[in-house]
Amino acid sequence: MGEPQDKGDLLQGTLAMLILKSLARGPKHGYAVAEWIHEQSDDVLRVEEGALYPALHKLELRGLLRSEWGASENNRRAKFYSLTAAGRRELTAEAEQWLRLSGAIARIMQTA
Amino acid sequence: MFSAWLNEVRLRVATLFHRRRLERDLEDEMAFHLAMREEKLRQRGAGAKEAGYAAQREFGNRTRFQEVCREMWTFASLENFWQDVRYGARMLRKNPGFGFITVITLSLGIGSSTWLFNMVRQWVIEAVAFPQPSRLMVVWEKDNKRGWLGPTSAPGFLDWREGNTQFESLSAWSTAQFNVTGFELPQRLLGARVTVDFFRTLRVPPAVGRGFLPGEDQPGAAHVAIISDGLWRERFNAARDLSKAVLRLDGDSYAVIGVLPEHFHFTLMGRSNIWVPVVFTEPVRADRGRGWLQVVGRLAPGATRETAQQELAGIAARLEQAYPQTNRDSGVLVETLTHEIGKHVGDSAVYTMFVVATCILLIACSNIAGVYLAQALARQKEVAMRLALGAGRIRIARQLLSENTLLIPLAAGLGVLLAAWGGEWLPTAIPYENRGYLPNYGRVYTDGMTVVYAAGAGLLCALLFSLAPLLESRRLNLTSTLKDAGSAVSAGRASLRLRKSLVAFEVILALVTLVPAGLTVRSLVARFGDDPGFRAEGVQTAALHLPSSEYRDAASIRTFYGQVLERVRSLPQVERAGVSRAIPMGHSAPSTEIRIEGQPEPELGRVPFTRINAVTPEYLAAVGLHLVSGRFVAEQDGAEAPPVAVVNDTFVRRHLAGEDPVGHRVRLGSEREWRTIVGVVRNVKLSSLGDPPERQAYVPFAQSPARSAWIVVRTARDAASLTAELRSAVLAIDPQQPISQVKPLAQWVSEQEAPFMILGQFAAAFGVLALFLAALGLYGVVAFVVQSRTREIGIRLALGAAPGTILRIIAAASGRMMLIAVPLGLFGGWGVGRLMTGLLGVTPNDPLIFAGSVAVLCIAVLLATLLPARRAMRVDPLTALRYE
Repeated sequence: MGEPQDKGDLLQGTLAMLILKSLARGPKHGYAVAEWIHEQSDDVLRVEEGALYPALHKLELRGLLRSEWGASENNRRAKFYSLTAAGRRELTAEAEQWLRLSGAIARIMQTA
Repeated sequence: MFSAWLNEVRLRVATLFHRRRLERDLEDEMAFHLAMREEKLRQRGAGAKEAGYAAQREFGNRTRFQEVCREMWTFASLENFWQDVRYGARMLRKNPGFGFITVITLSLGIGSSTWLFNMVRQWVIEAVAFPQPSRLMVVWEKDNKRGWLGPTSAPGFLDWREGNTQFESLSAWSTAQFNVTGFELPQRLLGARVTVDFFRTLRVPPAVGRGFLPGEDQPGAAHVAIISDGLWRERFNAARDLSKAVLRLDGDSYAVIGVLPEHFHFTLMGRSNIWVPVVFTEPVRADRGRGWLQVVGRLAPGATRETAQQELAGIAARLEQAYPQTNRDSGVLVETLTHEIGKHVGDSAVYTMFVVATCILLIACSNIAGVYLAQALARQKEVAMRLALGAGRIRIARQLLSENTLLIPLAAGLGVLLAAWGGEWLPTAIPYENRGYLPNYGRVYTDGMTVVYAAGAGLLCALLFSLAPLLESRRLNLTSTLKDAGSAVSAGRASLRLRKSLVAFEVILALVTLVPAGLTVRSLVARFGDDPGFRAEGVQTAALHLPSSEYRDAASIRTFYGQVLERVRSLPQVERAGVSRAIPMGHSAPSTEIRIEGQPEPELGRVPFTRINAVTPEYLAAVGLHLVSGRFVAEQDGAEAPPVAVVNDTFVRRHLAGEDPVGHRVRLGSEREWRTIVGVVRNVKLSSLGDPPERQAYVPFAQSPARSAWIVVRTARDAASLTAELRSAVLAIDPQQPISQVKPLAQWVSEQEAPFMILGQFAAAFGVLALFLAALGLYGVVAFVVQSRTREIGIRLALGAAPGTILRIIAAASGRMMLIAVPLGLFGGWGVGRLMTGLLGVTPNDPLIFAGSVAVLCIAVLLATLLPARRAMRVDPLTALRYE
C-alpha cells in the first residue's frame, strides 16, 4: 500500500483474490483471514498484516464483501467479513483467470 | 458497473453521518488484530513486552493504515468545503451587517437580471409557440418610397401566392370583430377572417372537430367558424359534439366546426376567439387599392428568408409595372414571425432593459468585490504568514471568500423569488387589451431555466469576487509584508491601481446604466407632458356596429343614434354626449384624400391625405377639443344643409398657411360636393401620444353617418360607472345591439401608452437602483483608498503641507480616474441608448442627459473623496503616523 514492496510480497491485486478465497467457506474477521493465508501457504506468502485492512475495506466499498460486528471465539468484539453474491462471482472469475495464467506460466517454465 | 458505483456512494454517504463510529470501528478492528496476534505470540512463549512489539512490527504502520481506510470512506474535498461553510457562518455571525448588505445588493442584481432574462427568453426568443417557428415568415407590402409597411390587397396576396415557389404555404388573415347574438346578452368579440389553409400553415390542428376545407372560402359556401377553447367552454360547455353548435355572427348563422387547442395564441391577433374563412368576392378580387390582408407563410424546404424576399420582390416589381395606378412604389418585405411578434412586444426595449439589469448586477458585484479587496488588504499580514507557511493561494482566497458559500446561494435564491414576483406583477401593470398581444398574455413564468440562470449569475459573481483577492495575494511580497508594518506608509502602487480600476469600472457601468435610463425617462416625460389635443378624464366611450341588414339607409342610422344620444343625455350627471366615427387612441380614424378649391390638382399618387372623423356637435365638448377659430360642427349642419368641415391647425399650416381658412372649400375622398371650412381646431393625437402633428378634418355626422360609431360621454362621476346605463340605453332602443369596447377614454390612452409607461417605470427604477448601488460602491472604495493614505497624510501634515494642497492631491487622483472612466462610460451609454433609437422617440444624443449623468456621478465621487479626506486631515499627525 504505497510502501516499497519486499521480495516475496504479494502481487498487487492477488491479495484481494486471496481474501475472497479465504472467505469462501464462511465469515472471518481480519485476524483470521491473515492466519488463514499464512497457514494455507505454509508461511510462504507473507502479508504485512496491517495492509490487509485497506484491502478489506476497499472490497467492502466495492460491494464484494459485507461486514458485521460480532463476538470472536474468545468472546471479544470483532468485525466479521463475508462474501456477497457479487463477491462470490468475482472470486470464481478471478480464480479461473488465475488458474489459466499460472498454468500457462508453469508450462513455459517447464519446457525450458 | 453503475450500480456498484451507486452502492459505494451510498456507503460513503451513510458514513458521513456516522463519522465517530467509523473512527471507533477502525480503532477497534486493528486493536483486536494486534491483541490476537500478541496472545498467539505469548502462547508460543514470548514475553509480554516482546509479544506486543512483535505484533506491532508484523502489523506495520497502524496510523497510516487507519488513515488510508478513513479517506476511503469519506469525501475529503467535500469536507474541506463544509469547513469553509462553517468558517463563513462564524464570520457572518461576527459581522452580520456585511452579510445583510451583500445579500440585499446581490439579490437585487441577480433578481433584476434574471427577471429580464426570463422576459427576453419567453417574450422574444421563444415567442412563437408553433412547430418549427423559424420557418414562419410574415410578408408585408412595403411602400418603397416612404418605407411604410402595411397589409396587402386581395389580388396582391393571390398574385404572391400563385407566383412564388419559396413558401410551402402562404396564408392571409384580417382581424375582425363580430356581433355575437343568440345568447342572453349580445356580445362583440374579436376574431379574424383567415384563408382556409391558415391553421395548416401554422401547423396547429384543431383540438376538437375539423379544420377549414378548401372551398369553404368560396362565395356562397355554407358559413363555418372555428372558435377558441375559451369561447367553446363558455358558450358550448365544452361539448365535444359540435353538430349542433351554431354561432350567430353579425346576424348570420355559422356552424362551429372546430375548436383550437387551449394554448393556441397568435399574438398578432390579440385575444381572438372566432375565425371564419375569408371570402374573396369578385369586387374584392378586383380591388388592388385597398390593403387589408396580413400575410403569414411557411418556407418551403431549402428556402430562406432571403430567397423568399428576392422572389416576392420580383413579383412585386412585375405587379408595379402591370398596375402603375395602384401598385406604384409598392414592394414587399419578408420578416420572420418571431421578429414581428418581437416588434409588438418591443424586443429592443426588452433587450435594452436586459443589458441595463445586467449592468446593475455587475455594479453589485463590483461593490462587493471592493469590500473583499479592503478586507484582503486588512488581513495582508495574516495572508502573508499563511503563504509563508505553505498554504495554497487558492485555498486562502477560498477562505477569504468563505462567506460566499452561504451568501451567494441565499442571494441567488432571493433573486429567483424577486424574478418570480416580477413575473407575476408584470401582467397587473399591463392593461388587459395589451396583454392579448403578448406571449403568455403578459405572464412571465419562473421555471428551471430561471433557476439555472440565477445560479449561473451567482457563480459568476463568486468568480468575480474571488478574482480581486487572488490578484491581490499574487502581488503580495512576502518578505516586505512580514518584516514590519513600517513598509505600509501607503498601500502599494499595484494594489492602489487595482482599487482605482474597480472605481473606474463602477463609474463606467453606472454611466452605461444611467444614460439610457435617463434618455428613456426624459423622452417619456416629453411624451406624456405634451398636449394631446383632448381631455381624457371623465370621458366614457362605447362602440356600436349596426348591421346593414336592419339599418339600410342613412336616415335610419341618424334616427338610431339620435335616440341613443337623447337617452344618454338624460342619464344623471352626464354633461355632454356625442357620436363620432372615431375616437382618439381608438385606432379608428380613417384617412382620405383631400383636394382644395383653387389649388392645382396634385399629380397621381401624390394626393395628400387627411385623417377624417364624422361627429355630432357635442363631440367637441365631450372629448375636450380646443377650438382655434371659427365654429365647430353645429346642429344647423343637418343632412340637407350645405356641407361643411372643420379642419385642424396642421391642415391649415400645410395647405392654407397665411390665409383665413374659414370660407375656403375642400373636397374629401370621393365626395362630389365641396365642403366649406367653418372652423379650426387644435391637432389631436389620434394613434398614440408620440404622433407627429398630422392633417385632420371633421364633418357633421348627420351629413356623413356611419353604422359603426362611438358614443362619447363626458360625465362628472367616475366614467367607468356609466357602462351598465349606456348598455341599457342602447338596448332600450334596439335589443339586438351590443355595445363593445366600453371603456373610459383615459383607459384607451393608458392601453395605447402602456408599453411606454412600463418602459418608463423600468428605466426609472433601474436608473435609481444603479445610481444608488454605484454611489454606495464608489463611496466604499474611494473612501477606503483615501483612508489607506491616512499615514501618508499625517506625514505630509507633519512636514508642513497645507490642507488645501493635500486635498488637491487626493482630489486629483480621483479626477484622473474619472478622466479615463467618464468617456468610456459615456460611450457605452450612448451605445446602449442607440439600441433604443426609433423606439419611443428616444434619441441617443441628448446632451442634457449625458451631462446630468456625469454630474451626478462626479458629485458621488467628490463626496466619497472629500468626506474621508477631511476626516483624515483632522487627525492629529502623531496619531496618523501610528495609524495602520
